[in-house]
Amino acid sequence: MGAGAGALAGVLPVLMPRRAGAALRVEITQGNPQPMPIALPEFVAGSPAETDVARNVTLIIVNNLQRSGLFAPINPAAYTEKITNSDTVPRFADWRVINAQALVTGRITKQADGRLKAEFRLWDVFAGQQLDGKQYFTTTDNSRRIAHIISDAIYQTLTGEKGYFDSRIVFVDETGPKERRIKRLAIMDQDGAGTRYLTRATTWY
Amino acid sequence: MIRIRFKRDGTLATGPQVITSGNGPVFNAMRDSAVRAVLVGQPYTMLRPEHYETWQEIDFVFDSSKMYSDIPVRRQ
Repeated sequence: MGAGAGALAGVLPVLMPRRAGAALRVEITQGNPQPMPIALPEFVAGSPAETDVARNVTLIIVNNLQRSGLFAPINPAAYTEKITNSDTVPRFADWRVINAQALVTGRITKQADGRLKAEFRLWDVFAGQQLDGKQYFTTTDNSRRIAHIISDAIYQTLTGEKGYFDSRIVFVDETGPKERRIKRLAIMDQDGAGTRYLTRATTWY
Repeated sequence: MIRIRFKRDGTLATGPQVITSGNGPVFNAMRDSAVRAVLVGQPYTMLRPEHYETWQEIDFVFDSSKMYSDIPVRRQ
């Protein structure tokens, strides 16, 4: 549904008769859905040690949104503003120039207790306002999950529908030749990563 | 419904004014999407300056009921 953004050029307006002094009324009953251009600059690392985690979290979010088909992440080479502090309001004009309708900024910081703090802000570039902003705390080995949860939050705010990125798929993993097939029950993240086997290798004839 | 006041050059004189009220994630997403579409569509150069009195204020009524009828909807 978020794909309806930017669709006004393709609308078929119906002009209604106008009362004296009243505003002209235009009814828009059709749209031209297109993937929403969204900018996701790499999350800021609280210290150099978090650089890799910040990069991976950003990449997972980009891939999730791209794969949904409703978003068109913009090539980072086009970005003119470098986000160095996710707390400051971005220069919206710089993001309008590259036609980004939404912008996500974030930061990953390691806490004194060893946990990771992940923060993000979702900005409406053309309206010049923040649409959402949250922070999460997790253990360092859980950064993939945080990336999926942030993807869900972005998806829900922009489309109105609940996201599905923080979900897993159970499947039967098959290996070996046809006559001695080995099957195992396995589980993976919805993006195909983090496979874990739930059963030992079993031969079924 | 979104009320828009235009300048003579086809750009918005003020920010779009959302008249319809509602709540929930779907309403919020539709509202923001409609406002964004109006902002992105500037300038509306198809509006002729000589008829400015006619179009200086327009109410856009977004009816989503037929808008996405050809798109499969993912059920939760």
